[in-house]
Amino acid sequence: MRRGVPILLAGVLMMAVYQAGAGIVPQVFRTDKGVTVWLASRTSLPFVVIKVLVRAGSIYDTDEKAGVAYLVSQLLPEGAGGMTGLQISQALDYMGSDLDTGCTKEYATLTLVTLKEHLNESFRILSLVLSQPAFREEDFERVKKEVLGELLKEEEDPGLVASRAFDEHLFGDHPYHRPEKGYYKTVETLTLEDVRGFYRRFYRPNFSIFSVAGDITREELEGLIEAYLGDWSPSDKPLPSIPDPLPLGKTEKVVLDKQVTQANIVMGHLGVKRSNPDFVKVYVMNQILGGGGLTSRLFQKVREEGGFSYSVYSYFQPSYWRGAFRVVLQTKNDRAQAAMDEVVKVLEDYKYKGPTAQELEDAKRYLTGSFPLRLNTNQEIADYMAFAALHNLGADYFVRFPKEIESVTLEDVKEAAMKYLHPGRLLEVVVKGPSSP
Amino acid sequence: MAEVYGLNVRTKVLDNGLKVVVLEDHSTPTATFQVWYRVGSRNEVSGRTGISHLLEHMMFKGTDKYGPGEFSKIVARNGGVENAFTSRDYTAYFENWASDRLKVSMELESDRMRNLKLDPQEFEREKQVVMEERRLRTEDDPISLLVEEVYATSYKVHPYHWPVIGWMSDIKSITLEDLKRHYKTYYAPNNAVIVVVGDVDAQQVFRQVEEYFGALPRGENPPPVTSVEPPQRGEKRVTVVSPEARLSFVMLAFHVPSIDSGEEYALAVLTNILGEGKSSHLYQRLVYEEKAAVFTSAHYQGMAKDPVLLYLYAGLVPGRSPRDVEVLLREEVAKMKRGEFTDRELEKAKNQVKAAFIYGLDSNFYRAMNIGKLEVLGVGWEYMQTYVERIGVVTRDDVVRVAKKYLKDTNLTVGILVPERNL
Repeated sequence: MRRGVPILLAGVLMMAVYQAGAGIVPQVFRTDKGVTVWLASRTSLPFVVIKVLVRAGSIYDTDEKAGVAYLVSQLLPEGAGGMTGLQISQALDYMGSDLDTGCTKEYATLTLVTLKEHLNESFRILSLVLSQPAFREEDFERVKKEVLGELLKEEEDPGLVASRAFDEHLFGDHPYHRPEKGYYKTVETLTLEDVRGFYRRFYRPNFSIFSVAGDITREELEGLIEAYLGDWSPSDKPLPSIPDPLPLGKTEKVVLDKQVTQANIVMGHLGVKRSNPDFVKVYVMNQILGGGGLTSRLFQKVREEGGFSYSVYSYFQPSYWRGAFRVVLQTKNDRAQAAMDEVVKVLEDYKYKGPTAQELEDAKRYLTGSFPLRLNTNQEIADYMAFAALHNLGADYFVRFPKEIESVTLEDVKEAAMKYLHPGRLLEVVVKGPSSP
Repeated sequence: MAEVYGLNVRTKVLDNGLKVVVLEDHSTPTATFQVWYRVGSRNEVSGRTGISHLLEHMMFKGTDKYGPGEFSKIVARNGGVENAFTSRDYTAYFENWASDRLKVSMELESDRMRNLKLDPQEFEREKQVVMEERRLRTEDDPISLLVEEVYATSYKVHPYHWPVIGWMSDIKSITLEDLKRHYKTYYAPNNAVIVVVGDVDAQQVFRQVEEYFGALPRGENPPPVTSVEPPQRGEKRVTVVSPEARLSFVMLAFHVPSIDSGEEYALAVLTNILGEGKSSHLYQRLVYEEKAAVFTSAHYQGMAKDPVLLYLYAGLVPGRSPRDVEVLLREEVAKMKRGEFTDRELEKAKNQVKAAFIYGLDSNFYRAMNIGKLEVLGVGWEYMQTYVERIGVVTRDDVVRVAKKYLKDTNLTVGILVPERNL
């Protein structure tokens, strides 16, 4: 929920505002139950962030039972190991600890933030929630209603509606097409057995990553995992195999009507997955096109020169399977087509002419210079390490990544633009209202 | 305690009135540079609301020395992350980057403090962008619309009546002359504070700031804000019927004092017991017991220049009536006035505030944010040093007293969001 005095930003996205932490070299190890652990010990402040990532995302739902993965993640803290949900929240709140659970398409997360002085008890509760959830009927019915409420509420957000419609069309039959939380009509039909079955299949140590940053040593962490997760049993079945999505063969335009004053636009096509060897080249290529900061080509043409939109950016999802490339913007209803034409012009020009040497130089300096700013806080470090662990990027990733950016050449970027941008094959989704004055 | 919070702060005031606050932290070779101006929507007048925010946008549109967008290019080229924000009480600009880049901040920020170009063509285009921003953030977001209405209803005299982004017709009609006047009045060294947190040497920062900002002339003292919100004399109600809303939403808002009133600590604890986390009164009652709400919260942000709103809200489970939920929210408020909360809940609230404070210190940027806010609000960065301690001594009686004093029906504005399809 929104909190605090509304603060308006002149920029595109505030994201977190990043600072320092250059050259983090985490300790990476595996427990005997198969949990992958990434640890960055930092003693500057007496608290710890523990992010648990479980390969239990909604990609493993089915179309008929879409929403199970999310429902499981929401039910975990509602009762575990003999404690009720209320007892769990009372205990955590009393210590000033936060436990948040959620799920994306690719994985579920449990994030614990705790003061050092309460680490042991907070970790114990986290472990119960992760390894001994109760899944009681009464909680199930209540949380299901809450999720249904959330799903309704999300329909209020035209940006989200546009992005969902984009995924539905772009990914076709591939499981990426489904929204993380499922659909109202499928969630309504879910049963407690569905929840229990999904949990048993996917919430296993050997499908899990612990990403830990803050005032804790490896010995302490290993001790806690052994003491509280000793009985958590690994799976002997591998994760289901899922192929990459296939490209749409054609352009497509989807227009959805809503009573809004602004058209929400998503345009794009399939992108590259994180494990693609060209990923870093594509990342640098996109930075110039529509990446972070207030200087990209799309920002220049669509916002600064066109005055079309407050926010405009382009993005290649660093996904596990082949994900999307998308351009996202909003403009008043009657300028929607003009704004989209402008985006296509920018894409075409960039694809065929590529960037200037100066643009590449600037982009590289921005990306390498601002990289340490993304790794400043325990939370940011835990998030980023979890990402690096999921994609198997190696413990030296935080040292290596800036060098990889540095080594990208003008030829690389030109090739990446030619190969991975397809302005002639765009899927365009527009959620708009009647033309406004 | 003081060591944990690491607040080794140095300050200096230049002859032209510019205050500089530096916090050294050598843990990583980076720093944040922030310029805070004592101007926000609070300093605006009817017909020209949103002008402070519009000016914030124009600050990226060039000076005589640096053309439109050049500021941002230079920052990006140096590996910096920049942005700006406008609130009711202040406007701030920042660059985060390697600490050896600080001089670039000083060159650019000192230039745009006094030498902004304000080109008519750029201005007309930027108005379009800000209107899009308003559509994005407010017009097409039902809850934002309701919150805007609650403020506009609750405040009739004081400028917190209008939103920071301004009313649409004002954004449209503000002239370049208005903007130039606003800039000249409020953008001056004596109306600004510079905050630097990171891997720097305070004395060196002072010397550099003197070098870059020292020659800027002091401006006239900006006019004071004279409007005072009179006491509310009875309950107010406002309803927003939205074609796009799917969930009903109920909000209760009360006028309460802000920072430096001495009552902000008890109000923070009160708010916490009512609405923070799943063990809070609102969540327990409305979500767990009555199954009437999908989410609940209570909000009090005392870091403001003038009296603010303490508000509670709930998003309804489909099918539940806003009237019923309003009654439940009122019942929970009444319990606080009768002191119906446990000592453990009081302790819990204090522990949560303390923990959140420590978590919030984990970034140069957020520490600088807190320092900057406290400086422009007039209480000074020192306020941070005693905050947790002052929360720690709040008693049950304090909480009950502020609840009785402020959470009363005559001081209440009720806001209800109704999905049109439910009518």
